[in-house]
Amino acid sequence: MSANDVIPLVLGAGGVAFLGTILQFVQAMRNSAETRETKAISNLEKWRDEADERALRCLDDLNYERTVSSYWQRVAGTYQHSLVVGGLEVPDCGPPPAERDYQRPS
Amino acid sequence: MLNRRDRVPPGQTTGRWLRAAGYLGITIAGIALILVDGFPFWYTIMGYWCLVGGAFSCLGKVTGRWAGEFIGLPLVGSAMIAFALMTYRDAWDAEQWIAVPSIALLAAYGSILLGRWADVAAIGRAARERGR
Repeated sequence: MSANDVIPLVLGAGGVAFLGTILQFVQAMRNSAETRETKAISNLEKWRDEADERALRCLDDLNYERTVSSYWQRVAGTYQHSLVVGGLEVPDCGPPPAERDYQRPS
Repeated sequence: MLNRRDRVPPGQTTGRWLRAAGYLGITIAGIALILVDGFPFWYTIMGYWCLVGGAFSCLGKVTGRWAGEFIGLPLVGSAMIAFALMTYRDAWDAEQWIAVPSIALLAAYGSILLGRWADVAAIGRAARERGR
């Protein structure tokens, strides 16, 4: 094997080693403590944002439920003595129940 | 971005600027080999190897990062050994008295650079293990 044959091999080996070191370095940086810490912080921020969104949605649902409950409580309070169904007034069925008998809708 | 732990340890920074100047010289040699017309093909390839590897190594030395030499030295070391072979081949017929010292000196230089590459790889491994 002459020098002419060895020269391309040497330079080629150097080029392959160069590419290998770049890949190794990139992999090492991806697995480095700093990178993992940054990724963990990013995940925590994402989870916190999602939890905030869920909490806001729950609050909206709760406010809606309160509004609806309060409306039906008013309806029940208004029509507990006489009911109008389909334009016809239902006859009075007796004295109104005592306040203590009134059950709030659950 | 590397943190401070990944930098070359303080005990290994002696001669940092001398080494950076050496790598700068290799980079300049690579530029000359690329730009000057008339060089054979493998000299031009060697010039690219010197340019890229020397630039990586020089920047690594100047900034105090082990990664520069780790990436650049394989190119520079292989270029030196190839240069030793090319010098030996071209000088043997005309000046045999210079062919043998040339291949010995340049191959030794290439070996030293590749040995330095192995040292830098060990420094990098140690830095990564400390970072874990």
